[in-house]
This record gives sequence, C-alpha cells and structure tokens, in this order.
Amino acid sequence: MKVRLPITAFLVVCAIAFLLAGCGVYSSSGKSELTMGVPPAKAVLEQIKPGITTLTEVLKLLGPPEFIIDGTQELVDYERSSGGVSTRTISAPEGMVILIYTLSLTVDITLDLRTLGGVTMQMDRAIHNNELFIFVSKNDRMVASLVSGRGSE
Amino acid sequence: MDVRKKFVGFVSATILFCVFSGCTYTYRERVVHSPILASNVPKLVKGTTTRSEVMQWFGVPDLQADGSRITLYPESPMGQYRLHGRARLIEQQSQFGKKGSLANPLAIDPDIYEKIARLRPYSSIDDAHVALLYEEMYYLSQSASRVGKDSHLRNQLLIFINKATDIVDDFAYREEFRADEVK
Repeated sequence: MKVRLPITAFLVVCAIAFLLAGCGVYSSSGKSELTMGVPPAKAVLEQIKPGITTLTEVLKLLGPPEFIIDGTQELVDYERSSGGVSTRTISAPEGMVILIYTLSLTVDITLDLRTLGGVTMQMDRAIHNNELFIFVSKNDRMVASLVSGRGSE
Repeated sequence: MDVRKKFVGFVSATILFCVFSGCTYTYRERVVHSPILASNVPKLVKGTTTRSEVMQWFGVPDLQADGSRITLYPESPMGQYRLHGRARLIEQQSQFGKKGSLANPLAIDPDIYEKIARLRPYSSIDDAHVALLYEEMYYLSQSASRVGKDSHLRNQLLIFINKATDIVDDFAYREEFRADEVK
C-alpha cells in the first residue's frame, strides 16, 4: 500500500501531463522561419556600376556567386521547407555570362493543427527572396548590367 | 520512502515543466573541409599559386566547371553530405512505404540531392579557365514549442585557374560562419 500510493500518483501525473501535451500539440499553431546567407550591405551593392566594375571587383565585393549561367540553363530551387523542387530556365545573352547572387532568402511557415471535428492541418508558406543578376561580358570581363529581383509567393 | 517521494516529485515537476514551458529543440549540422577553408585562403596569391598547391591545400573541390561543363566530386565534404542525405531519405521512405506530401515531410523525393547537384549551373566564364568551387555549410535549427528558426550559412571559395599555365588567375572567398568556432 505504501509503495502503491506514490506509483499511482506518479502515473496520474504522467497521464495528466500526457493529455495536456497532446492537447497542446493538436490544437497548436506554429511559425517557422528559415533564413539563408548573410545579405551584403547596401553600400557594397552600390559600388557595382555597369561599364566600370570588373569581374574581379565583383568577386572581391560579393564573393563567389550562387550560380554562373552561360548560354541557356535550367536552375533548380530546392525548397527545404517543403522538400519540393521548382525549376526555371535562364538565358544569358550572347557573349555574356550571368552571375546570380542570392542576397537573402526567408521562408515563413505557419502551421495550424486542430482537433475540432477530427484532426485537420493547414500549412501556409511564404517565400521572400531577393536575387541579384549581374551580366558580365566575356570579352573584357566588365559588368554590363545588373538587375535586382525581388520575389515572394 | 522519502527518497521515492522525492523521485516522484522530481519526475512530475520535470514533466509538468516541459508541458507548460515547451521544450526547446536545437539541431546543428556542419559540413566543413579538413583543414577548414579559412586556414589556407590567406596562402592564395593571384598569378603565383599553382593548381597542385590548390589541390594540396584545399583537397578535392565540390564542383569543377570547365567552360559550362560541370564535374561533381562525391568524395568532397558536400558530395558526402549529399550522398548521406540521399541514403537517409531512401531509408525513411522505405520505412513509411509511400511518398509523402506537405503533410508527410519525411517522404521527399530521394533523388533530390542528385537533381540539385546535377542542375546547378556554373561556368568558368570562358574556355581558357577552369573554376573550382569549395563549399562549407552550417545549418542551425532551433524550435521552441510553437516557434522555429532555421538558418543556413555557407562559406564558399571560388578559384579560377588558367588552363594554359595552371596558375590561379582569380579567386573569391565569402565567409558566412566561422568554421573553427561552430561545432
């Protein structure tokens, strides 16, 4: 009897904790955020000027690009949050290559799980990306133009 | 008996603390070269360093581009990481027995790592150069009961080697995390 009491109390506490934890999981909504890379400062980007800045200077300012496109190539984006893959085709103009830098990428995932009327789940995902395309001439290795693209879904 | 009561009280308090405060979960993943890239980057000198010295200091690159022809090296740290990731996914899929969706994030396409690696366009700018790309990765995931924060950082070293002379013509290094500090 003396031994049973604490064991019973322990089991009861465990059961209550389990129920509370279960409710917490199945009625919760959560937010997850994925960030990639350290975005360069605006002042650094302003130093890149078409017709003046060379490839060497771009590499010195921004480091290695994420991709270097020569001709027409398919680019795969791996969405770590969903495990999905999306593709896009990018073409560099004749005599040029495109250096692509991912300036920042943030993925917000909001998860909503409810038990009312059975378990239902809802997931909302928002991707905020900011890319920089730098067109470099193959002949003189000079920056021809640069385009900053912002995208979100 | 007192010891037993204390034990029960301690376990109960721990469980209740976890339930009400929410457990914090931290996951770290680190893929680095040996030795780390940062240790040998200062040795690189444009117009002087040879290709054999680069291979000696940094080992096998993760990616080599000759023109726009890409070669991936599975024996590099990132290559090994992709192979292990793929093996892990195949194992998970076989356990669950089916392909999943958003609701079952464990079941991802097992070829995803190969697809990404194979379709990563990189070019050495022109046919006179070879580009060697070395990468290191640090992934940190932190989640409390309802809030998660993941960050994905990389160190990248890009070296252009003149094919005619086998000398380093240009290089660039970007460090997003200190490989010698993170574990």
